[in-house]
Amino acid sequence: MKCHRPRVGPGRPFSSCWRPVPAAWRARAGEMLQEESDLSLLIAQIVQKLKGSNLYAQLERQAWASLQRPEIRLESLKEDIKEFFKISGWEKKLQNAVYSELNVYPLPSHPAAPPEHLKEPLVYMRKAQGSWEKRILKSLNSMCTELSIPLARKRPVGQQKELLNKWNEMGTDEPDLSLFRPVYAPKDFLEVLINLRNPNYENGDSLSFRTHLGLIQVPLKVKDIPELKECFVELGLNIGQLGIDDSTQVPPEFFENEHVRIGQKVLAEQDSAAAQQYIRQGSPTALRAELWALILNISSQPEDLLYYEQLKTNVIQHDLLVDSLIYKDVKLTASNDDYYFVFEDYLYQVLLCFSRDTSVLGHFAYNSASPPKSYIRGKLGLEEYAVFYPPNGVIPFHGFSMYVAPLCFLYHEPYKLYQTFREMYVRFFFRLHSISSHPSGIVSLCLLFETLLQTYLPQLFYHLREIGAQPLRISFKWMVRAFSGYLATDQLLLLWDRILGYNSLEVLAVLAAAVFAFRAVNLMEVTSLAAAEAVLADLSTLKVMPLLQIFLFATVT
Amino acid sequence: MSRLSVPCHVKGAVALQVGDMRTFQGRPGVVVIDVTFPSIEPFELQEITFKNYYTAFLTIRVRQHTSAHTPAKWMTCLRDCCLMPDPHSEDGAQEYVSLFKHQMLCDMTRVLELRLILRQPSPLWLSFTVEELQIYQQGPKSPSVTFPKWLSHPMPCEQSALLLENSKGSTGERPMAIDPSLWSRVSQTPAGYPLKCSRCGR
Repeated sequence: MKCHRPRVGPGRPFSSCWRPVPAAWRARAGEMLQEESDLSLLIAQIVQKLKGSNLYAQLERQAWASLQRPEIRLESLKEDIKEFFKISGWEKKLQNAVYSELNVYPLPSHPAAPPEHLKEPLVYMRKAQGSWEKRILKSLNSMCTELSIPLARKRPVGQQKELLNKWNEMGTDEPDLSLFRPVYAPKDFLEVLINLRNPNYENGDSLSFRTHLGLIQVPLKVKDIPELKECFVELGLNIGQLGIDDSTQVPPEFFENEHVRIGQKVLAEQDSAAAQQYIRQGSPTALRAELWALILNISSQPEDLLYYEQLKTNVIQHDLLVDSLIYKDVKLTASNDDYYFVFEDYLYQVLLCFSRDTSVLGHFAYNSASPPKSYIRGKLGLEEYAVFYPPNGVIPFHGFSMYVAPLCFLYHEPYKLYQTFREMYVRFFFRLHSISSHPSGIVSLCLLFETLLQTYLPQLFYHLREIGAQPLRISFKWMVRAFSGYLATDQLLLLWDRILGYNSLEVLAVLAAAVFAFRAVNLMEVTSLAAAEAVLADLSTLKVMPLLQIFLFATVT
Repeated sequence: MSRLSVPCHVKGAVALQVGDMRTFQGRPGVVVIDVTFPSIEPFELQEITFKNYYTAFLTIRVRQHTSAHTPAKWMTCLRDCCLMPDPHSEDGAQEYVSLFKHQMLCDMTRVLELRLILRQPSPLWLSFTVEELQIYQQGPKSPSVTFPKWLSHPMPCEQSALLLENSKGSTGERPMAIDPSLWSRVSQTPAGYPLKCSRCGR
């Protein structure tokens, strides 16, 4: 039974067309009604979100302007305008926006569920995230009091002018950062995850079938290789991949030329969903920047440049303690990296603006973390004087700048680089440093890695465990940084292509397991954690796609 | 269509076990929760809402009021509804769930008592139950405001005049059918006075 009218669940208005549903129809529809009302709710949610966006205003303007056109007739106004949108490409833009919303925001939850439930359904994980955040804030506050530096202050006019002049070469600045230390490092976070326990779970002291042999002790559902094969079907052995079938030995007529041609067609059509499907087989280097912008639904409008300039002004006018943390992080990580040190100045610009961007606060609706609150001096506890600190609610940790660094190879205008990073962060990277039960959350990734290793390389897993070198202790830092800084840049970008294509971070855990499988022979011979770390210290020569393909599709199980 | 919460009395969960309770090592895998409605007459059940806590499967039995002198019988209205697709993992373990009248296997017109049978076959969990249980019956169908007949049933000539006025508008919007319940927001006018309709200018 195909229904063309929007149908509503009990008491839910859907834009301006509200009709009471006949009782007899409802009794007949039964289950289908429930599904349709779920769909109506989802549609209503997306419409609500898009109504506040720039695209809505543009569509409205276009609709009004189109009334001048000869082909728009009064009798069939609605259909004619729809046709006009289809031909002029505006329908495609709307489709891309809706697709983007479906990808990013979780489905509407049960009406009785409180907002915390949408952030994270499991109560004990919410509690763990809350106490982790308290620890971070305590560390930040104590650093603040020790160094007697305010969390935020207005810059004097002289300093503002100086910073404005130096904006494009902040890397030449050498402020004294010796007293600053990163708020936390990935290994501190790993300790928190290791101690995560479900109070309702049988965590006996004695070893039984209930104990997990790895470090993560929470029973989340993770995929096994048959399920991963189904999920990552485009990485199969008989399907062409960039990263494998574009190597010098393979003639380009076999795969590469055709793939590039299809890529150009996808870009011409400007279709987000098609681009996401296409990029699962990798993206040609020349098309990557545009493809990523299309998938992330970033269109560079003049308003976006203005917004970036506004953030820049905010950076110049106010100095935050977090800025020093960012400086320190960039100096410690990206500046020392052979591939990324040239982009040091870009990194400062992007990260400083990022910490002022309050639009990032929107992602906390579906992030298990919450932005820290700070109070105006002397007004502790009064809600009217509370502000989020930093303005975007994200406290950078050691290695945070590595999320931005690879993007510098793709985008040269700072505002485009900024937009892409912000979108990547609110879609993917935030999951790598917050405690949640989401399948792409870091806890699930760690468990997926350990389960894959244990199931398909049991001897290696047992050996490493016996010598006190739990595999997760080595691979955790790879996954938290999404392998940035560990792989060669071209390989890293091929990996991030797949993250975008599958809208999931599970491929990181699979790659980590594949790396262990690749170096298994050497690892079986080591006798200590330090030696195991040494075997896996250098990943820069690895080719990502063959590793993934062999582990998923060619390993004898 | 609105719903009305029904005050209910949820009896404590009773675990079902085979054998001697004291010497048995394992944990019960079945728990029964009785729900009674002491101060209400038999009602028509619309919706059951609860928050799951590690229950894997749910069966609901209902005892309904029968008009004849036959004693009320227990009937199964929901059989083995799966709340956790994998009982050993956290998927669905703490989700909010709604069960509606149309999902039930039998009629729910005169409910006297409900019995929830919770099953959790996995030995991994220390306890399991359902929380925040709410039962709903059908709410009032339309607002209780009565309004004059001429508002809900306009004369045929008035109806066509209304449509004509609307179609003259420059935006060319298709006229909406008037929804009676929207009028409940309009304040009552003394009988006989025509309502000022600013769009039509009458």
